Amino acid sequence: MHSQSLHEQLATVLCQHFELDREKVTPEASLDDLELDSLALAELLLIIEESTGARFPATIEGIGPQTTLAQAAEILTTYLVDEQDTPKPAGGTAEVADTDLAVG
Amino acid sequence: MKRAAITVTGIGLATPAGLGTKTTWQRLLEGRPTAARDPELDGLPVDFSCRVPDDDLAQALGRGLRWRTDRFTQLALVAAREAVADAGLYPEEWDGDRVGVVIGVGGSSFDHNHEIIKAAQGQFRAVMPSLAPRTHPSAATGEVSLDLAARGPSLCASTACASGATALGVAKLLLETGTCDIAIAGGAESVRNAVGSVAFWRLGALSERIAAPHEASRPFDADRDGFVLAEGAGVLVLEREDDARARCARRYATLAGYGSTADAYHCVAPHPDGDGAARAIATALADADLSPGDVDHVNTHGTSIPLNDLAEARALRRVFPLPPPVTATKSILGHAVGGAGAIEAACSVLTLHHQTIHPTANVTNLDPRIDLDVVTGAPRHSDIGTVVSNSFGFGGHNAVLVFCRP
Repeated sequence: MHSQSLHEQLATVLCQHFELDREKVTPEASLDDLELDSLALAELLLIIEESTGARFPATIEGIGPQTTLAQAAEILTTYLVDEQDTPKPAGGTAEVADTDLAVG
Repeated sequence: MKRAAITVTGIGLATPAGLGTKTTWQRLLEGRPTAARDPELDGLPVDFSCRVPDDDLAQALGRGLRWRTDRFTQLALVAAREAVADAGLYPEEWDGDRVGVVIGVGGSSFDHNHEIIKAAQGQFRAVMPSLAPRTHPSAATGEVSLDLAARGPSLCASTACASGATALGVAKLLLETGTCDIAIAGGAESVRNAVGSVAFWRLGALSERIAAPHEASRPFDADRDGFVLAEGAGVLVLEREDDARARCARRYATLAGYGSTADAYHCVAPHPDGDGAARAIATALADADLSPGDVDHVNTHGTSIPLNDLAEARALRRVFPLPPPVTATKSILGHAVGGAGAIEAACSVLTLHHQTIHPTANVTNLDPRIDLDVVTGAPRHSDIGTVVSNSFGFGGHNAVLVFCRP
């Protein structure tokens, strides 16, 4: 998964889940422009985690109110890459773990 | 000291009949119940409810709020906006510091069972971050304040099924004491979800008439077997009468009296003779400086629960030598718990405004133990100067409002 597709994914969630106007959701728009506060950002990240299987830390270095969508997508993509590098546990384990985000 | 008269200048309703005061009032006049099978309740012991149409609610709410609000808050927002617009008030123009918001809500929202399941299964990080603030009963008041830039006193009244009426009573007190100049007050709740249905069914409070949902809510009828879960919101704009006159606002009615009592009898069951209810009615009439003989109509709590309707009838018999004609709004709209008292207060105001009592649906065989003049079949037009609106909640909360022709 590369940054372009993650950007598209962010845009889709912002338009559908957060009901933002499509024309406002541009790569140059900052989180502040989109009125995405820390609560909204936390919701957004959870949705992306559930759809990609990635796991973001509680605070992500480099993402703040002035971060643009394009920049955010780029930063978040590094976590997706890390995730892909990590071998996934075999399916069918009985234990339900905190990291079991795909169940949704 | 003479207290200021409090007047109703705006009405907003979001009910299973649809959005908007006119839609609800029209449905009430038709006497046509809104109960129907609810797809969200498929497979549950009670699979029907009175549900606000989803598309109407989304459209009225507008974009951008659903991600962080639950249904009861959305209903409150839509009703509050309508009430404020109806009052001819503009949030851009008012002194927000002097505008108070009091929305009654019975309990925490159960819109997100799935999040609870995640928590129970140890998937802590998968729980939505907005879960705590959005499910609190006070979320409705908070979001309404934010939406309308109302920065005065704000609180959530929670007295179970009487919450909406309590909120209006508290708002009256805030205006009388000069704590604010405009009060946006009412109630909102959405309990017609899976947890609500199962929980109230286990309590034995719900009608199980699953073969004929539209006949399930039948207050005061001999064959009643419980209430029908609903959702909705009712909001009124209240002002001191002098202020309303000064800005030439339309005055629908005077909120003349508020009475609040507790049964202090049982955690769920009402006092069998309606002791607390009768005292609340008497207290509200005393607050309005009126006597029982002045009352022309009672909008009953009338839930269709066997014990409760009987207790309410007995309470009315205790207060009124000859009770005036009564109706039960829940026969048509179901029971919106914390929203119900405010929805029915709005109906009481509309009854005064239109000089018309809406019929109670499904009363085909009046309970012989209930000696009341229940309006059935068609709306009844008459000279109505004073209306009593009853709301009684689980836990023995009784809240009664008295409205008079302005």
